[in-house]
Amino acid sequence: MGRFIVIRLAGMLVTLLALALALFTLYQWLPGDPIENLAGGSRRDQEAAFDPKLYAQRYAIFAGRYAMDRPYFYFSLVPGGMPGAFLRLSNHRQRSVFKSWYRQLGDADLVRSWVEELERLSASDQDMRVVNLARSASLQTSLGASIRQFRQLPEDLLQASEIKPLLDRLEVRLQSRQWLGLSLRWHGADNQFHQWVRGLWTGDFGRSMHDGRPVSAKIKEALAWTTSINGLAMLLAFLIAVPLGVYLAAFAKPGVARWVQFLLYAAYAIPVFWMATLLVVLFTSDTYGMNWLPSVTVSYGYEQGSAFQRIFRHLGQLLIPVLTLILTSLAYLTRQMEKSLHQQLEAPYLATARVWGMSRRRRIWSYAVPNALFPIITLLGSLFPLAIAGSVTLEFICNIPGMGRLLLDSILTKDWPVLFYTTLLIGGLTLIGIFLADLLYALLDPRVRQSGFA
Amino acid sequence: MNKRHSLLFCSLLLIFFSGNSCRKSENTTVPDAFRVTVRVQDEPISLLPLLSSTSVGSQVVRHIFWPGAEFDPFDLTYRTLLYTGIDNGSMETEGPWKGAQRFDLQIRPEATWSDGEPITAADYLFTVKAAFLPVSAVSGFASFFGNLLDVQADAQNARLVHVWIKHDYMLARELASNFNLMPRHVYDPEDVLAAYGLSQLKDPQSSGLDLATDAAFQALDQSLQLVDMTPENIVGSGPYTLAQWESKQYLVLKKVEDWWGDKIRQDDAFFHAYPTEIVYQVIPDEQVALTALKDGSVDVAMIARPDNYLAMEQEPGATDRFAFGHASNSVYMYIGMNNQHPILRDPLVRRAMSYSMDVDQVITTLMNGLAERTVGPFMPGSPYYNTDLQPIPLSMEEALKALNEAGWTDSNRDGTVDKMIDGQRVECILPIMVSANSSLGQNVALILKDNAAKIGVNIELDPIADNATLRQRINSGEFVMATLSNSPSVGIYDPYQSWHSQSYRDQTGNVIGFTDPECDAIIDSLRHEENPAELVEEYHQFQAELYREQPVIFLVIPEVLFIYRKDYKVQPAVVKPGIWEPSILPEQL
Repeated sequence: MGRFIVIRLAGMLVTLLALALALFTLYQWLPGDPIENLAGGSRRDQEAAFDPKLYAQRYAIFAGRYAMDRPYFYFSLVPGGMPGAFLRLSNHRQRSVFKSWYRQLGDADLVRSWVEELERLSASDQDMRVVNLARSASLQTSLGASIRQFRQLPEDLLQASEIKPLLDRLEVRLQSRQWLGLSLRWHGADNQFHQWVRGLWTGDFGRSMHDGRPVSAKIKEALAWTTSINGLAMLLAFLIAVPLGVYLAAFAKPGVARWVQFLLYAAYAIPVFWMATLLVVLFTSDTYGMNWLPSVTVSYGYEQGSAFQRIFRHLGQLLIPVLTLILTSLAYLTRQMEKSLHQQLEAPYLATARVWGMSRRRRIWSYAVPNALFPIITLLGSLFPLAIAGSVTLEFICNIPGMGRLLLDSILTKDWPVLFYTTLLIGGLTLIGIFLADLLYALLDPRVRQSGFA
Repeated sequence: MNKRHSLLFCSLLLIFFSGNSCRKSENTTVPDAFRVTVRVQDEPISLLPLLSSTSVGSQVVRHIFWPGAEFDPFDLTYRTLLYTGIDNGSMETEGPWKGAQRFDLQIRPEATWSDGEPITAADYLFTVKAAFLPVSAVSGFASFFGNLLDVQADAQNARLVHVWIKHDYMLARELASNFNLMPRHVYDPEDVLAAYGLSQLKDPQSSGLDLATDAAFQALDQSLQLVDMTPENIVGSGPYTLAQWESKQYLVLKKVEDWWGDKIRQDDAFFHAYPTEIVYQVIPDEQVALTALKDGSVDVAMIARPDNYLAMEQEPGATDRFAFGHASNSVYMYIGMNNQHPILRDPLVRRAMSYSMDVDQVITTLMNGLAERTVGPFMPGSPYYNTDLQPIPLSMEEALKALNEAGWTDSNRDGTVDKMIDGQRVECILPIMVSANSSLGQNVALILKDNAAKIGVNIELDPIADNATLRQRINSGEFVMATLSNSPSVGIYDPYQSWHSQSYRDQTGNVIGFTDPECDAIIDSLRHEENPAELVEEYHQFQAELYREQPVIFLVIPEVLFIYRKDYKVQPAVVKPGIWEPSILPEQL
């Protein structure tokens, strides 16, 4: 058993680190720049004048504050001779463009000259075609394409821009370009990935890029809602599904069983968002004369009153989402239980018990049902992630500020710290869920214990 | 210069809005205590004015933190709040700022913060300087203060502040007085910013200051960023203060006990704050908001989608329980075109696009008639709106004619018009960026796409997952066309930032890259216009020039829609979001 636990825990750690790495890599590919918004870049088209110099200063400050001005990983594999400063540019887009230019030219001074020239022209009083070209060239990785575009300018504009000598130098360099080789740069712990994963063992997840609140506080609030709803729904669903499955498999008349199954499948066939909407629209207002359920919004005054009143209000708030989850998952669980019990009831050991004169009730409740529960346990592992991740649609319809909404909001607002740790938390808890299910499995089945794998 | 603008602006607006404005009856009895619950789609990011950048943030913050003066939400008259009065400035005759516009602002003797401390010139100075903290970047206040030359507290009078503004800045009065003051003693108790001059903060490099490594400056910046949004940390001068904020659920404002404004009997909306509590209920989904309205969880719900609004109105018995309000919105929708793009550089092509856009279909089909057509960046009700300009009709013949005139023909018979540009044959293919979250924006683009295809222009939809990325691409000029919206100032409009070619050249604005010498000349002239009647005329000329050049396709001004309990009285406001919460009253009273 010890070996089993060690193997499982080691596997979990590796999986979690791989998830962190995958998340970090994916994030680098996401479009958009969260620092730009923090530094006020999104106000360029607003009515008050925008100050590019002030913006550049602030960009650098915020990039430093969120460790965005550091190399990405513990090491970098870069073209030979590339200056380290290119790996520490605070603007990620600029970083990748500079690296690409260096890869094409292999001459850091020439890259700097190109950058300075483009900056000069972008802010100059030259013809707008020159200015526009300089601005678009500063974002373009292909130097060949930029040079071609400059060459297509009318000769007088090209002469006036005084960029021609530099274009000639760039072209010569591009034509004589050689393989620069690769060099490995070691950055130690001074890198972005390390800063992020460090929060996993220090417990300090930092602050949200969106509203500056502690990430841990935001996750804690959302987790409380999601776990209470999904936890309660799971518990109740199991409590209903198991006896219902037993009833359908062992006691129900065929006609009754068919009707129950039909109703269960009908509920199962309704999508979660539709079921929730139906419950909200039909049963929370007087519109259809069935104002039987409490409102889905968490209203002011919610936390006031006695403990009993607060619990009552809290349960009222959870009623519709919990009911929705139960109704939509009941068919699946009940069917699993029913099928499993059917298999047990047809097993030879129960035929033997019957021959020995054991009562039907005892055969079912003492032997068949415990064994039939075995596959249900494994379902716990697969349902646990659902309980943590929450359902985005359900949380929107029922206005619950849970994990699903937190995750979606963090994606839409590019709130990287919240997104990173929320996803890792969901991943981590999913692994724990699977681990616990496996552990239960192993406790019940000696074959699993011996092999170390479920 | 400001005097003429103000007089003209106020008098004209009073005429225009007097018909719409419906004020609380003087005979109305205000109940001792009542609460109003308003549905908002999202919560504010921060309640500190310098850290707040969203529209819902402005909606809430304006009742906690007051500016020195503000536009009346119902008639747009410029009214003094914290100051005893505001003149239109005078020209400085001596000293370092000779020739600049000077304002002497006297803070009301009664005015105090919600913690009882007096509001002084030190608070004004702190707010101006704090705008230059990096954390304030989101609000854009530092750029707003770019034309501010100097601010000084009076040596003898702690409530008197002297302000100098560039002599030719047309919005000087608003710059001096229209921003929310913050208490220095709460947010900078050590008075860290006193050590820095305004000019140092505006241009630290020239003054040899490295703010990125300045420990005291950075510490203050971070402390402001980390202010917890709890009642004790939110100290303002307005009629309300924060009572409770449950993140993503609700935010509660309560009336400040013994509020200083109650001692001043002024007949304007600002000094009448009726509800004792305003609850902002966060409900992102509109259907849920409507349900919450029906079950009584909210009293007033802002509705974004006209179809939801109309469907609710048609529900049996809905009009018995609810009132359906709407207001003019100071937001105009338009299709932005990159005027520096090789194809759209030609005004004829842009005009052809305007002829291809069926704006009436947008109004009738997409907005259920709840929008007004516009041909410029002014509100159609505004005195500056040029009513002589007729909206460009949908006309495929005129569109094709403009295209042909611009040299676009389908020479290779592939169904798309083409033209030789800079020695290369270019097919007329125009990607249009739309927000993937906005079905309205996508449908507007589809209408244009369908019509443009009839004249051989291939419009390709380019959905962008989030608005921030869409904004970033527009700001960096990486777009061809995009469905957008904008909010012009409710006061006198300075078109320089958005429409002057120098703004594009300096990369300080004009993100569509519109460069037109005639338009520049009009803008330069109107910014220095001394004669009020001439100013109106020049605004009309400016709009006519935009109309001629069609740098963007102006579409509509959507109505702000709201539904509220019928036993409440909710007056439509001219300012966003269309309601003024402190003016809401129970109807039966």
